[in-house]
Amino acid sequence: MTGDRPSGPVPSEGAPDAALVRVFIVDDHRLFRSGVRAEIGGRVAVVGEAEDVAGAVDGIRSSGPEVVLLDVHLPGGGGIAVIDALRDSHPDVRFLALSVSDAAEDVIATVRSGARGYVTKTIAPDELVDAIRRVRDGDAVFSPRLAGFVLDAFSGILPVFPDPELDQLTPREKDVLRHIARGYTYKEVAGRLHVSVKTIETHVSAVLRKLQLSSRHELTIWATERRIV
Amino acid sequence: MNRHGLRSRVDRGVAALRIPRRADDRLVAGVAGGVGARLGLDPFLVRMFVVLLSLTGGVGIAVYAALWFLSVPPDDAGAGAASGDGGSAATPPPRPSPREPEPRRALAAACIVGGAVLILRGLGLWLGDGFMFPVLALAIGAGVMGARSSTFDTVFSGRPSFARVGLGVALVLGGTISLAGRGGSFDDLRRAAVAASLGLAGALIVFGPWIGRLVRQLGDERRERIRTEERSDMAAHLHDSVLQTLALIQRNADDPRRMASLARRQERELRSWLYGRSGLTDPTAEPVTVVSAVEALAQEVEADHDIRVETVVVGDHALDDSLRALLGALRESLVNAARHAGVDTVDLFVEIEPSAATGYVHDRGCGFDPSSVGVERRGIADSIRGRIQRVGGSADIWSELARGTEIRLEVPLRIMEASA
Repeated sequence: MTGDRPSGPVPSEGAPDAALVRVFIVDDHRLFRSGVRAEIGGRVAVVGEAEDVAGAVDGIRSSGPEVVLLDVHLPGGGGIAVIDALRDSHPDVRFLALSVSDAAEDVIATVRSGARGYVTKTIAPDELVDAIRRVRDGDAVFSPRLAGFVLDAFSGILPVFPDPELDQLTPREKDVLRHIARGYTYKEVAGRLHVSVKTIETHVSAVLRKLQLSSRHELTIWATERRIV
Repeated sequence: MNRHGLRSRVDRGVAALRIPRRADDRLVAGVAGGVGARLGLDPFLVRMFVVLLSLTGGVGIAVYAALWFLSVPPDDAGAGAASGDGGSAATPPPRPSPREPEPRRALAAACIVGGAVLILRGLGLWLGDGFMFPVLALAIGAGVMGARSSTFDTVFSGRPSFARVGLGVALVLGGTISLAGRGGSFDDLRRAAVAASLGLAGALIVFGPWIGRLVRQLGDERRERIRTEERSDMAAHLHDSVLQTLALIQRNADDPRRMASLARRQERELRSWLYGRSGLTDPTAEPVTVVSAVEALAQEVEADHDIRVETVVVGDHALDDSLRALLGALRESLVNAARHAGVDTVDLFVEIEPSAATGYVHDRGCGFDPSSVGVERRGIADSIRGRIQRVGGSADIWSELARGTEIRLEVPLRIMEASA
């Protein structure tokens, strides 16, 4: 079972990192935390874990991780509350959302508040390690599902006045997202579109930026509608 | 013992009076016909007897009413085959069917009562209009209020019980007031009205809180019942799905593939139940939109072919023929990938745009050379292509040896109001 692949160069070529990535795990299921720890323990340095918002904020402050694996649904306010609490004091900490939730609006909200990507909990260990490195390096991690959510969120009729730079995906960006949604890795997308992997990374990061900065009414409306329907 | 014996005797007595009414031979309710059949008399004689009794003080009407009350509805067919041989009503007018609508019967009863009242009045067996009419109004009002019959509810369609209770209350109040103010002047009448109103107000003050509590209690009970039902629904669902799957997983603990596929199916099912875009819908219901149909499709393929289908759907649309063709072709493609590609995951992406729907099935399997396809593969490809082309769409197949296969299917959509 390969699970939900994050796109990116296919699993770690064993690139020896000078130091292991320091990772903090936030999830309210102990079983899941110990599972992740066991799976990736050798390849990243798990510096701590927490099961709720308060514990996560304290733990991250004291252990100083580079990447936080963050459950979208958490007792005490959800993953968003953790990101909000640390955004100003710890701008270098990067968040990767990890969830079983299929509720698109929750995932999008978490990414909008600052997570650099989203993968589902069925992800294979190799791919999770790879996604963690990617996030540490400042890139965005778009799983097929997140790509689908984003396409969904940015679809629909465009507003007349808001900032077209931020409120709309370019045809090229849509193309890239569609490929990711179809299950291609960044590298494969690059090959199919005849561009470099770097270009794909740039596109994906631009999409992430738009997602986070856009004030687009539609995003709110979209989320509201989904909540009601 | 003793009491039982007594009761059974009483029961037998009552049973003897439970004369089946006649549906096929009747003028009013079929009681006379029934009695005639029971006693072996000509129903006409019975009727005459009833009329005579009625003329001598209304006893007949009372007897008739009592018998009607005690009798049982006409049971069809055989009940009294040996009926009115020749006799009176030679050709009984066509009667409404045994299951006569209630309003009509109520109207008949009202006519009889009204007639009886007028007869009694005409005969002088009457205690005076001022007394009898209010009493009648009271009786009718009380009856109307208490009646559990649906007659009034049907007649006063709309707010059934309010209409019924309102009519009853008006009759009772009217009856009481005119009874109290009987024989007096208009002033007396007014005084009586005031007195009645005061009495009513007093009763409300005394019994109001109790009634309110009762109503509240009823509401609470109802809410509690609804909650309990919801809870048991949830429990039933979890039992049927999750617990069953967990049991199966325990039993298949030594077969990782089977375990994985069970867990996968359960995950998908639970997810669509919890987060389904259509809310808490019946998971067994026929899907009506693309999102639910694609979910169902993926679930089916996963269950049948032991493969994980990574599904992403963008937008939504009500199912129509084009989309059904697309889904059918997607299904073929998924099954194909499951059978031939040699992978354990296949990606399924469906995007609905205003004028077209596109579906991709992608795997990283063994691939094949599209220019040298075996007969079997060609057949399948044609079946996919054929389906799509019939609805005016197009199908492209990309495949490379050892790199995988991707099938792209597109069908046009009739433009509908924004559906994404």
